[in-house]
Amino acid sequence: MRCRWIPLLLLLGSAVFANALTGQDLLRTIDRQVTFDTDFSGEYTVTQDRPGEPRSVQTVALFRRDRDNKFTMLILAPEIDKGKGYLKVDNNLWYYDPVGRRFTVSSAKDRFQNSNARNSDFTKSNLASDYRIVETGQTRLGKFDTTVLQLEATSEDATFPRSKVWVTSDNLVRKTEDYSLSGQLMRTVAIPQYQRVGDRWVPVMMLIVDNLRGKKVDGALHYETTTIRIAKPNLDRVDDIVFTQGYLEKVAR
Amino acid sequence: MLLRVAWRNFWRQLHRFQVILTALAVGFAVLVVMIGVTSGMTQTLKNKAARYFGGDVTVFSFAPDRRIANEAEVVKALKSGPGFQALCRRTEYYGGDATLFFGGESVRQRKLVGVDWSAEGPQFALLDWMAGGPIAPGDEKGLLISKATADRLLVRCGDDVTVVFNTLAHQRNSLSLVVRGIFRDTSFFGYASYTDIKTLDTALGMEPGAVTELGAILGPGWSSTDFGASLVDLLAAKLPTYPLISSRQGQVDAMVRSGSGKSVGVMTLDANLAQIDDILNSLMAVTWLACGLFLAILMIGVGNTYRMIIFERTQEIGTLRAMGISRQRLIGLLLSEASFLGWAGVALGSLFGSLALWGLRSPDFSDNTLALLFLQEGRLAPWLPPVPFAGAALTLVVVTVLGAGVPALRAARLRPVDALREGDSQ
Repeated sequence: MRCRWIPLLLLLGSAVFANALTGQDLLRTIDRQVTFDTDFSGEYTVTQDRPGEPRSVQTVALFRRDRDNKFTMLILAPEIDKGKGYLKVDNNLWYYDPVGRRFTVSSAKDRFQNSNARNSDFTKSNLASDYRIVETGQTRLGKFDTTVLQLEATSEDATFPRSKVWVTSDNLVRKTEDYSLSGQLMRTVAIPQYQRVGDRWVPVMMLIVDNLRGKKVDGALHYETTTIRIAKPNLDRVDDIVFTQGYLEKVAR
Repeated sequence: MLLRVAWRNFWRQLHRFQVILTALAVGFAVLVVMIGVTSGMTQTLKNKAARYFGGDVTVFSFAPDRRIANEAEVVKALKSGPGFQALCRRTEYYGGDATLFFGGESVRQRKLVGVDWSAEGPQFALLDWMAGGPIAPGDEKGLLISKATADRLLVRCGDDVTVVFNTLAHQRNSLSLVVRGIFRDTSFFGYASYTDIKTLDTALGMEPGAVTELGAILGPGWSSTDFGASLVDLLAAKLPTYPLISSRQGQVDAMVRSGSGKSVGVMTLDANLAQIDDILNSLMAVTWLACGLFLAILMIGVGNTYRMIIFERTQEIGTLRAMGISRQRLIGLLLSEASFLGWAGVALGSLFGSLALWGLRSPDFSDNTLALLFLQEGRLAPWLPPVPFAGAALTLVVVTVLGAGVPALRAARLRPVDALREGDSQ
């Protein structure tokens, strides 16, 4: 009698398993679209808008070696921040301040230079290793037909415990909403346009809206925003020395 | 017999002592005020600190999740300590990244505290409330914030604020809480927010009702160091307990070493306040220096006045000597009179000083930000601890007797015939 149910249970189990695999495969595909097998470098312009305050703009040189999980960021402008930098090797992230001439331990989850961007926004995409899909759906996002994926963190390394991503048919993320564990919307990221670099993609611009920080201006609440523009994408090989602490110390002198 | 004669002399010749008695009474009243004010300020500071740190003595865990596993054993040990008054049950989040958000504004908090309101409610009622008040037990959505935080967030009682922090699993989490009370405190104790312990436990990913710190509030005057030492002995018999920690750095070192295999550590308020010990010690040093100077001046005053009194009583002294009173008994008689004078000064000074201390409770100093650390609800809360008071009283009597000593010795040296002659010539 009991044996009759076993094949059915096996069938159901395998269906669930297959679905989960499909989900992780999708995340892996999304990651692959914006991850480079070769080295990558580019010039990032980070513009911070705080309501009622002057706009601040930083220019950052970014060097990525995704296959080794490394990146180096070096602030080029403004003059006051010039020489500050970040170095990530595996899971270790250091911040270098040329004034104190010392490295401090940072985290990919930390805010980049007090902006609304996180350090993880500059690294390779880790959706497949950090999240699992808990729900999917279809919706229209402006001019795009998108698949909406509700994600739940499976790793402590995930910057946010819950995320909702809008993905177009080319497997590029167009919008992300990041939530706290209890479901509070923390920030929204929009990536309206990508540029092709080799056989992979890099955003042309990312707009990050902090859904908690802002200011009331004329009675209306305006949230802080950070815009990241990426120019001069390059796939040329980057010297090994660039991914060392010595490099940040040297260029800051 | 000698004392009775001395008392009769003192009482009958009270008019001669009026001036010096007034000086002694005023002097002792000033001492009472100084001791009362400084002790009250110190006690107020300690009360605030005890509220902030979760007790005069706190027990914390070295477990990775920081949860105290043997709560019943620790509570039993705390309750049996000397001077135990109230229990604190808390979950404390020291992440440093706890941030409060309201209307786009944000303020980082030094710590976020989950409080068992049924245990600590009465302690929180003593805070200097600007609006609202303590949270009622069972209110899982309430939040208490400092005025500094409320001013920066532009928040008022009843507003919903979002609190963002990391869970034990290092995930970002948030709580939407309602501001129930805004209290005034200095920045030293100000950037801490208080909510229900179960709410915070759940949000941090702990079992609801779990505690990371257990503490004891002690009665006024009880030593946290003595309590801590006895608590370590009590706990060590039941649990692996780290030796008594004597400073904040000591606690950090112990945490870095994960308690060297021990399960709990004990931290005292004295250790927590080591940072501001210099302020407290300076306050006490200035008080005692001023008291010392005051007593020295009083002693000189007593000496001079007594010289005059004895000069006026030369004939009486000559008569006593002629009647056969020995030099030693004469000295004893005069010094006994002086001691009665001293005690009378203590009695009157205590009365005047107590009245002055009572009056000092009324003025509101809450506009003085620097003084807030030492004020309760914006006002001084003078407290006269028995031991320093008794010490000051005894010192005043001794000073009076010492001041009268030299004139008494001179009087005793007079020959009866010379005394009677000098008395006749007056």
